[in-house]
Amino acid sequence: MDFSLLLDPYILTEVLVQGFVRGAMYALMAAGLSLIFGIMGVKNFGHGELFMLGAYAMFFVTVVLGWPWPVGIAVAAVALFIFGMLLERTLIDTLRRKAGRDWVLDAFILTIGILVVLQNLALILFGTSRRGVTSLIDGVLVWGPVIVSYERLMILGVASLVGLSLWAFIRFSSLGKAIRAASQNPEAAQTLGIDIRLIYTVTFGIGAALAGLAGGLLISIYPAHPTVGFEPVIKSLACVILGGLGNVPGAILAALLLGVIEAYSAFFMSAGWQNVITAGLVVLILIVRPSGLFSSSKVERA
Amino acid sequence: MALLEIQGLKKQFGGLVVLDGIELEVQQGEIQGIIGPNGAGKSTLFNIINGIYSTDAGSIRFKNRNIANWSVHRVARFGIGRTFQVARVFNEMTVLNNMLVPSVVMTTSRAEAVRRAEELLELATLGRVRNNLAIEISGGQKKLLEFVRTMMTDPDLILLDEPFNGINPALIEVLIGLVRSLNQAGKTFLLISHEMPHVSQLCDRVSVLAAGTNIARGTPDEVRANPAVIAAYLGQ
Repeated sequence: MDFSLLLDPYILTEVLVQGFVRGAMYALMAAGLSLIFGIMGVKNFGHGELFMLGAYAMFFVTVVLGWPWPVGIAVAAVALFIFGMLLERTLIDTLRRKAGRDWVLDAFILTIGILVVLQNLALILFGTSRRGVTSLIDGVLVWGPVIVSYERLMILGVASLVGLSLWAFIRFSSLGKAIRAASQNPEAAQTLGIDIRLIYTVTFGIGAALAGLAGGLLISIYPAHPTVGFEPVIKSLACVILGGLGNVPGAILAALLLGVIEAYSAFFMSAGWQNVITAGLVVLILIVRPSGLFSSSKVERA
Repeated sequence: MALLEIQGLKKQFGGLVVLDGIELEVQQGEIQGIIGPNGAGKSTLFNIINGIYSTDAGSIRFKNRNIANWSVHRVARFGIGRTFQVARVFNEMTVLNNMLVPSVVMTTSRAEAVRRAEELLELATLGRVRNNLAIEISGGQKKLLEFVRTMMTDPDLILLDEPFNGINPALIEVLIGLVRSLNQAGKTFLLISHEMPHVSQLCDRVSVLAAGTNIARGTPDEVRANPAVIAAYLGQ
């Protein structure tokens, strides 16, 4: 291993860009997971399957129908927004109303059930073959030592735009304020006229839309197949924990950090090491800071 | 016709009967107090009126509709606001943003909502801290914030649960002044309190609950002189 390579400008930009692209995917996934956990208290283990559905939607629109990629990304996000809301209203909401006090634990099992069903449905309907595209946009930007494909720039651009819009929506819009209020004190929010069931349904829809968008956006790197969501969901769960449970900006920062660390470890060691490094990092950080890297409070949820 | 009329209200948790045939009537424009020893069922009554708990029997008529077992947000939108015994503010939001939470369900413009919020915060002497996070303000200020936040929904009836608990005397004066002026502007109040001097100062009528039943009602002076009330408080 030659550490002087770490500072080589060509390698540095290549690894950083690769890391940020990976990080962008984790961030989109982690933001949705963190939002759903922060507001509803549900850890959605089926989140990777929403990524998978987004990838299939993208493939269908851009390859089968031959429409342009922006339409594909929009369809992936909108379709998953609707699908997420349906999933929440039919399954999770029903469980919450019937199961009472322990529903969060039950919801954990339910989301694993969603994972199994969706994965196997995809297997039956689409088979095991990988369905992707070689690239959505051709061409490379050369600027001094920086060489980046337009496709990667597009991925980073769309992810940043979506991330910023989500932040602005939660921070400044009326519905965003209602969502934050509902996550901090659901009963008090309801006494102000806020329909908590609607908040939960919309929140789950937004989380699902972010996963679907990520699946569509990264189709050239992660072609659609039934288990494509496994790695993104495991890594983004790690980001949610690293960022502090329910802390959306924390999860996004952790995602970018993890993406870059993984890109470096893949480059300087081997791709096999990157999972070891992720897992090691999570364990280490949980020992040093049990409530996550970016959490202000000592204990988030008992 | 009363604004709020409760008849034969019953609530049981497992084998424990918490409310056993409560009757209550609140006239439009009055300030009514509810007193009673600990465990009398006062907070449970509020939780049933605003929909947090379901009822086992009885009716709750508000503005001529039976609102028993409505969902919490629906009761709120129909015109009943409330505060909690321990103030429930949104800690990680600024004081002003706490006020603007209901704006998602309001028909007024954003500018109008901000103007109303600023005005209420000034009245509650919270104008100075409006850009602070709610977690940073004192316990008494949180109670005032929760109260004026409820007013943002423009309720007809406001339920106040122990509004004077844990507030310093200066803020109590502010709170009493606010309740009075809002009452003069047509708002109706129902408040639970242990602080008999404040209840006497504010309330037109007082209802006394003990062990889940009504034991007395009348003016503050009548209630204070009632032997059944004295017995309930002294545990005879």
